[in-house]
Amino acid sequence: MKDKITTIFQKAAYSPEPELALAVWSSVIAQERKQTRLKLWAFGFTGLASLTGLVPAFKILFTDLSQSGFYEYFSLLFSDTGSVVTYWKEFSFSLAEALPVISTILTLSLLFVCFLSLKYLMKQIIRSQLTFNAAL
Amino acid sequence: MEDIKKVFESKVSFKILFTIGVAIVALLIFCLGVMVGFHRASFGRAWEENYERNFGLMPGRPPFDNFPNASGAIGKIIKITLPTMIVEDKNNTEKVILIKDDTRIQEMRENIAERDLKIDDFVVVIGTPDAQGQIEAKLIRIMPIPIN
Repeated sequence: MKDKITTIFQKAAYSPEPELALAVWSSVIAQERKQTRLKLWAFGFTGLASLTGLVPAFKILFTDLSQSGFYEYFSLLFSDTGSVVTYWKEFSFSLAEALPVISTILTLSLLFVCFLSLKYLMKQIIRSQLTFNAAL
Repeated sequence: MEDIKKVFESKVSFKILFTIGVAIVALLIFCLGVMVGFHRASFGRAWEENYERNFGLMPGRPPFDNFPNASGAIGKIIKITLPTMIVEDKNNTEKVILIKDDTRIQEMRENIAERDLKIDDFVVVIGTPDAQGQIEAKLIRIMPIPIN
């Protein structure tokens, strides 16, 4: 009895259309490609924008460094190393107070965004090549 | 024993430790900021309170709106009245520099005496602020005038 039921159910098993697997696979690939393209443009734009912003940011940073006197204090490290080591506390305070914090934060933030965007951009480029190979 | 080992090797324990580590670093940085800020504000207050005593009466001087650098000065010497001198700092703030017996004054590779300092010399000073809004110099270096 059990064998007969098994045979009946095996005969009645669902047989998918021959193109179904291919259709599903193509759909997945297309969706993957769309997402990769979107991410590629997004990271490319962000990377380019941050790279462009770095030029004025560096200009501002160098201007602030020379205006605040940080460069002059820092140069004492090379010209008067012995004195700087003896009076390291006063020297550290001078450097800390002369550091242009806002422009440094701005420049480092843009650098961070730039490198992160480049990293993810490369990832998307590699992924798009893999997707292309998979589609073939 | 194995269960205890699993707990300490789990992702949750790593996240907890990471969060504690980040909090410690953030608090240390905050502490440092408070220290530097207090140091600067104390000198700024003393500098403002003793302005007339140090530099004389100046009617119509601009209001005090920025704390000057408390541990040094960079600029031209505008007055010498030993053992003090007045330096005009980068943001046009005048600072009184007190030259003590242990102050090192350097020009190029030579140590020079305080009487060799001249008006219009461009100097970089590092020192300690005092309660009178002056900076007790530890090191004075005479530098070539920067090209701006």
